[in-house]
Amino acid sequence: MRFVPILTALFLLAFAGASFADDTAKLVNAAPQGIGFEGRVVWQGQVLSGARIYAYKDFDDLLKCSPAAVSGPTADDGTYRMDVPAGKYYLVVKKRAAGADDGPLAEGDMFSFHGSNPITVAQGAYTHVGFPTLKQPAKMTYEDSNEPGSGSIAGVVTYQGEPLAGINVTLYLDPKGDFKGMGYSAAPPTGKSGSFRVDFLPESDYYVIARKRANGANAGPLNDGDYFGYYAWNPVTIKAGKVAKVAFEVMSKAGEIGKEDSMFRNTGTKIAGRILDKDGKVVKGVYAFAYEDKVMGHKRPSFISREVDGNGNYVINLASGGVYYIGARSAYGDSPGLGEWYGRYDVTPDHSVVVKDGQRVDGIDMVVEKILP
Amino acid sequence: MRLLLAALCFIIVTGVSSSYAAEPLFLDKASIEHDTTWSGTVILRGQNVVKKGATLTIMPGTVIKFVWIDDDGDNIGDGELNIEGHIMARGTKDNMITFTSAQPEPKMKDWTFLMISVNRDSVIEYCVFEYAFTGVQVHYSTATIKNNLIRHNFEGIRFSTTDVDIEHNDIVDNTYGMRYESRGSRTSVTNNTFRDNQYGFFPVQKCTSTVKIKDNNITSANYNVNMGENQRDDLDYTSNWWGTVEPDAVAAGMFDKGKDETLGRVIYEPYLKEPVKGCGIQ
Repeated sequence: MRFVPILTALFLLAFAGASFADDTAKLVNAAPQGIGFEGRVVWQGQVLSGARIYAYKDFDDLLKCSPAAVSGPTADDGTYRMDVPAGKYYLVVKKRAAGADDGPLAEGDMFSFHGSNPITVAQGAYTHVGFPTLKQPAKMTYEDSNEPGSGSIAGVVTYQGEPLAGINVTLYLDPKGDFKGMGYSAAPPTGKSGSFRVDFLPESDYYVIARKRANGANAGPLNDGDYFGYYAWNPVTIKAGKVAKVAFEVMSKAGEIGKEDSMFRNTGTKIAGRILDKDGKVVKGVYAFAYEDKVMGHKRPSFISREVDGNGNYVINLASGGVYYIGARSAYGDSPGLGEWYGRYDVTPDHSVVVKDGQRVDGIDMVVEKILP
Repeated sequence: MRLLLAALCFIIVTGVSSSYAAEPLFLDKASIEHDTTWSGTVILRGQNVVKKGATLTIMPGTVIKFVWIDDDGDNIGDGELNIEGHIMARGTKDNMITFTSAQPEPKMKDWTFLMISVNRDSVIEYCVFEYAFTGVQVHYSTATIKNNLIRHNFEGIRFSTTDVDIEHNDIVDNTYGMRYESRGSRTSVTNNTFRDNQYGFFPVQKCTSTVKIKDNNITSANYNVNMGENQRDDLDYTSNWWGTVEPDAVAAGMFDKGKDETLGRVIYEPYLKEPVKGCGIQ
C-alpha cells in the first residue's frame, strides 16, 4: 500500500513538536503572510467545521501524507485561510476521527480532493478555493470474474446517494499527469443506473476519476454545475480474475466552491496583448493561452486568459516567470477543430515569450484565422 | 565556416537564399522569413521554421539531414522543420528529395518531423522520409502528399483537422503507418501501399468517417487498424485490400469493438478481394 503511516509519523515528529496546535495552521516552510488559500468547506450544502486543508507540493507527498502546509480547522461557517509560499499545490480536505495530524482515511471520515489540482497560489493574494466534501465510503470489495488473465472494475456512481447518469469514469496509471488526458482506459458514460464497468485490465494500481461537464466538453476547467470525483480509496489495485467493486460518490462543483478560478487571479506576473483577425478586427470569444511546452495546440495550456475584451485585449496571469509559448484559440481542450479561430505569437520563431517573476510583458499581439473555414 | 554558422543560434534567414554550392548548407534553429530555395545537401539542427508569408522550395535530389541533439532528454532527436508558411517539395521519380538522419548509423526517432501547420496548398511529392519520430505531420492545413516513400519512422504520417490528398505513397516499416484525429477532416487516403508497419492506421480518438480511406493495399505486422481508447464511433474502411480474402483473417487485423467493447467498429465490408493495381509510388 502506498500510504506509509510510520514514515508519516516520523516526518511529522520532525516538525513542530509532533502535532499541530488545534487552532493554528502549520507551515512546513515559512510563507510570507498574505499569500495562500482561503475559502469554504461544505458537505451536502451545509458548512463543515473542524475540517483541515492539507497542501502537498507533489502527488507523492499526498500519498505519503506529508503535507507542505496544513490549515487550522475550518470555522463554524466552514471557512478557512492558510498561508503558503507561491507555487502549485495539491489540496485535500480531511476531517479524520483519528485526529488532526495527516494520515490515512477511515470509513466515515470526511474527504475532498479538489478537481482543479494542482492549484496555483497567486502572489500577493489569497487564492479562493472552496470544497464540497464526501464521507469516506466502505472500502472496495473483490468478486470472482470469468477472465482469469485480466481484471475488471465495476461500480455505481452516485451523487448524494442517487445514481448519476452521464458520468465519464477514467482510469489513470500515473498520477503525475494530474489526471488530464485520455487516461489508460475509460468506461462508457454511465446510464440511469449510474453503473460503469471496465474489463480486460492488466494487473496494476489505477487511479479512478469521474467527471461530467454540463457543456458536454471532454476537457477544460470544471465549471459550476459540473461533477467531479476522485475515488477516495485510490489507487485501486486490479487483480487478475477479479472484479473490484466500488461505490463511487461524486461531488458537484456548485457556486459556494468559489466563482473565481485561481487561474485568473492577479499574480503580478503577466503577459498581455491584443488578438485581432487578419483584417484588424476584434474577434469575440477568443482566449490567449500560455504553454510550457513548445508543442502547442495538442496539449492543455498551463495558463489561459479570460475572453478578450471589446478591443481584443487579453491578460494572462502566470504563477511565475519563465519561458512560455503563446497562442490563441476559441476553445479549450482537444486539438483545434474546423472553423475554430487559431493563432500563435509570431514574432519569435518558436512563439516563445520570456517573462520574469513579477514582470508584466505587454505587446504580445496575435493574429488569428479560422482553421479551414 | 561551419563553426561560425553553428554559433548562430536562431539564425534569421532574411533574404532569398539558395544552396546550389557543393558545400552543404548548415542551419541551426533557423527562422526562414523570405522565399528560399534549397538544393544539394542541407543540414538542419534543432527547431527550424519557415515563417508565414515565406515559401520554401526544395529542388529534386536535395538531401535534408537532421543532426541528432536531444536537449529535452526525451530520446527523440530535436531536429525538425516547421512549415508555417508554404513548402513546395517536388522531387521526381528518378531524383527524389530525401529527409533523413545525419547519424552514421541512423535509427527511428533520430529527428522529430516535418510539420505543416495552418497553411494552404503545400506540396510534398517524390520525397523520402526516414528515421523520424513522424515523417510528415499536417495540422489545420490543406496539402498534397503524393508519391512519397515513408519508411523506418515511429509514425509515417500524422494529421488532424486537415484537407489533404494522400495518395500513391509507399508507407512501409513504420511503427504506425498513419495516425490521425479527423475532427471534421476532409482528408482523402487512396491508392497507397501500407506494408510491414506494426500498425497500419491509428485513429486516436473522436474520429469520424469524414476521412476517406479507400483503395489502399494494407498489410501490417500487428493490427491493420488499431482504434485508440477513446475512439467510440464506427469508422468506414470499406473497399481496401487487407492482404487476404478470408473474413476471419481480415477481422483479426482490426482492434475495435470486437476486442474492446468500449470502442467503435471498423466497418471494412465490403472489402476488396485482390490487391489494388497501381497502388504506391507511380
